[in-house]
Amino acid sequence: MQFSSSIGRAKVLVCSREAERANIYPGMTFTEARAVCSHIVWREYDDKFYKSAQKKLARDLIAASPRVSTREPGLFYIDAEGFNRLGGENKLCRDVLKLASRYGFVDGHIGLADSAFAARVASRSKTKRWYIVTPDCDAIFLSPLSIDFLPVEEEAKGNLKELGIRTIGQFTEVPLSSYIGRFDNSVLSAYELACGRDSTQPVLPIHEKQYHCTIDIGSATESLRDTLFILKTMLERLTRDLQNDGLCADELAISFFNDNDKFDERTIRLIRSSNNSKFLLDVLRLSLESKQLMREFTAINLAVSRFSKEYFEQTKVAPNSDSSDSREELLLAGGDELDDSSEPVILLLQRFITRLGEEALVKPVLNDQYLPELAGVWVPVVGQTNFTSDSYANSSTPVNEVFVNYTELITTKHKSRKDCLMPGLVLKRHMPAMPVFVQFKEKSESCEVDRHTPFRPAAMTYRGHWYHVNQITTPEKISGMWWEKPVRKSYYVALIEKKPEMAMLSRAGVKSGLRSILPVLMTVLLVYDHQERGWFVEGVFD
Amino acid sequence: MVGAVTVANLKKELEHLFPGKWLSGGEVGRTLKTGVEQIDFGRSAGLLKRRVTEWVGNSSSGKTTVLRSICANWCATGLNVVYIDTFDRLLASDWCFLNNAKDEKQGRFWVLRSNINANAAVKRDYVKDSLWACEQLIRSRVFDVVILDLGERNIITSNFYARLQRALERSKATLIVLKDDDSSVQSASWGTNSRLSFNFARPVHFELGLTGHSDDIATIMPTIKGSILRDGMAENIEVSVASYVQNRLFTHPKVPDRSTSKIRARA
Repeated sequence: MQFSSSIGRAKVLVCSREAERANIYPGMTFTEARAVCSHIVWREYDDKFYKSAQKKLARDLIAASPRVSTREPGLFYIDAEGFNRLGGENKLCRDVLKLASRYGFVDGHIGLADSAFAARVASRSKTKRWYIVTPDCDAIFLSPLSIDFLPVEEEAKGNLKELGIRTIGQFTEVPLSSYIGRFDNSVLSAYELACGRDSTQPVLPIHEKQYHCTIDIGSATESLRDTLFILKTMLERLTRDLQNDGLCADELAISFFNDNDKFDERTIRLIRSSNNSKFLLDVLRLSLESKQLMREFTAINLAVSRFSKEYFEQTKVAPNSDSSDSREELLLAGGDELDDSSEPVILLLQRFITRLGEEALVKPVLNDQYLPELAGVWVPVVGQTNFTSDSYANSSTPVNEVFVNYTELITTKHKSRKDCLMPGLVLKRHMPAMPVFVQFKEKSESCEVDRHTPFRPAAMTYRGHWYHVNQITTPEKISGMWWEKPVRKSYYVALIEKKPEMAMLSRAGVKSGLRSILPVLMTVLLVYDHQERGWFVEGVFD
Repeated sequence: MVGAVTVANLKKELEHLFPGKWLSGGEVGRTLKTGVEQIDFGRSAGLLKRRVTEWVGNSSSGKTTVLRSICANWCATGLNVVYIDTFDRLLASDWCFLNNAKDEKQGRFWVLRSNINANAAVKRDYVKDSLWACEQLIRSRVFDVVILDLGERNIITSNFYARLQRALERSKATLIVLKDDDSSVQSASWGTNSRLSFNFARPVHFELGLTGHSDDIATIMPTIKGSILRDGMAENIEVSVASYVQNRLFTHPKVPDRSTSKIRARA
C-alpha cells in the first residue's frame, strides 16, 4: 500500500490473488478495500520481518542447491548447474517449490535460464509453475517479450515506446552505440541484460552470526537479585560481541527453563537500538518486575533476536549557561523542550513499555467522527516504527468543514482572551455505562423533542439516589438524513440535582456522621439506547 | 530606575499572558502560573513547584474542566504536561486541542492510561501502577506538571506522599493530585502544600437550540465555584466556562436561495 496522509486514504499498489478474489484491486483506497472485504487488516510494513523470513527460507533451500542468494523480498537466486545427473532440472524445481510450500509460500514460481535476468523473467510465467529456458537461448526467449520487463524507469520506457520499440527484440536490434548519450546508464545496463549477458550469480550463503548465550545454573533459583546478577554476566558478554561487530540490539528474547521444561519465554522490543549492558539490564529488570516468574528456574537462555548496525550521531551542544543571550532564547522558547530522542525520554518510555505495555502512554489526536467517544483517538506515543514521527497526528486530520472551523474558533478565542477557559465541560466516562431508572414528564406537544423518546426525563436515579432533572438538552441531530433511520443512541446532557426530600435526608446523614460523596448539582451524559431500550449514564461532566 | 520598574511590570504582564516563563529568579523558581487570574494573583499566587497540590471536588464539580484550561495554557507556553488517568475515564476528543502538532514550541500533553478493557484478563493493581508511574514521571525530569487522577480511590499513604515529595525535590515538576472527594472537608491531606476544591453552582447558563423554544436547550453550563486553601487560609474563587454547541448538534446548511440568481438573470 502507498501510505498517504491517513491510513484510510492509503492506496493499494499491488495485491495478491486472494485479495483479487475478495474484489480488492490496485488503486483502491484502504477504506474502499475494507468496504468490500471486512476482514482486511492494516499492518505496518516491517522490513526486518520480511528479511528474517527470507533468510530462514534461504537456509533451507541450501538443501536443494549449495549456492543460494537472496535479493529483494521474495526473490532467490539458486545455482541449477549440474543437475542433469541428479534427477534433472524439473526435479530441482519440484523440490524447491515443495520446500517453499512448507513455509506457507504455496504460490511460488521458478524460472530457469542461463542468465539471472532471463530466469527472473521466466519465473513470471502465468501458465506454468516453472519455466525452463532452453540452454543458450536466453536472447531468443526474451526477444518477443515486452520492454516492460526491463529494469528501467517508466520515463525511459515511454521514450522507447515513442520510438517504436515495444519488444526486447526490437530493443536489441538497435546497436548499443545508438543508446549511448541518448539514454541513461540504466538503459545501457538493461541492454546487456536483454542480450542475455548478466553477471549476477548465486553465491555461497554467508553464515550469519547469532548472538545468544545460555547458562545452566545447576540449582533452582528464584531470587531477583541472583537472576539479575546472572543476566548481567550474560549481557556483558553479548554486548561485548555486539560492540566488536559494530552492532546494536533491537530486540531481546529471554527464556527460563526448569530442568528441560521451558516455562517462560518473553520477547522484549527496545524502542531504540542499544549495546549498553546497563541499559539492557535495566530493561530486563523491569520486565521481570512487571511480570514475575511463575516458578524457580535452573537455566536461562538470552538471545539478541534482532540487531542492527550501530550508528553514531553528533551530540547536541548545550548552550552556555553564562551567556545571557542563550538564556533569553531558552525563556522565549518556553523552557526545556521535550526531545523525544533524548536519553531521559528514551529511558522513561522503555520503562513504561516494559511494565505497562506499548499503549499505556498516549496522546490525544483528532478523529473525523461525530460521536463523542469517536471524535478523538488515543495514539500511542511510541509508534510502530518511529515514535518521533508525527504521522499519527496527520493520519486523522479532520475533514469536516464544520469541525475545522470550530477548532479554529476555539483556538483563536483561547489565544485572544487571556482568562477564557476552554469551552465545554470535560466528560469522564463510566466504564461500563451505568443503567439508570428514569421518570418521565407527561407528554405534551411542546415537549416532544425526539420521536423515538417522546417523553422528557423528569427524574432519574444515580448511584441509589433520586435526582430531579433540572434541565436537559435536546438529543443529537446528525445531518445527512440520518434521522430517517432509527439511530442507535440518543445523547442528552442533563443537569440534575438531588430531590429536596433526598437533600434533607443527606443533611440528616451528614449530621449523623454519614458523609455523602455525591454532589447536590451534577451534569451527566444521559443516553437512551434504542437497541436495548434502556437509559444509561455514560459519564459525568467534571 | 523608572525603566527597570517598567520592564518588571511588562514582565509581570507577559507572565500573566504566557504563564510560567517571564518572571525570573525566585518568583519563577518557586511558583507555576496557571493563567487563571483568581489563582495566580490571589492568596496562592500560582501553584508551587516541587510540591504536591490537591485538586479536589465531587465527581461532577468542574475541577477537571478548570484543570484542562490550565493545561492548555501550560502547553501553549511550552510546558510539558502528563496526566495519569488511572481508570481510563477521559475522552480523547476533550483533550486533543492541547496537542498542536504544527506548533513545535508547544509543550506536549501525554496521558498515561491503564487500558483496563484491553487487559481485562490480566489482574493488575491499577492504582499501584499509577503510583509507580507517577514517581517515575517525576524522577525522569521530563515533565513540568504531573497530574495524578485517582478518582474516588484516595489511597495515597503518608509514606508514599513522602516518597513523592523526595522525588519532587530533585525535579522541576509540580504534582497535582486529582481527587473525587467531598469538598466540604476543609483541610489538605498530609504531605500536600495547597488544596483547591471546586463544585458546580448556580447560576446555570443555557443556550437555546435552533428552534429558539425554551425546551430546546443546546448547552448547559453551570458556574464553577472553588476555594483555595493554603497555609491554613482559604479564599473563594469563581470561574466561568465558555459554552459551545457540539459539532453533532449542527444541522444542515441553509438551502441556497435560487430565486436570487433568476432575478439577477432577468435583470
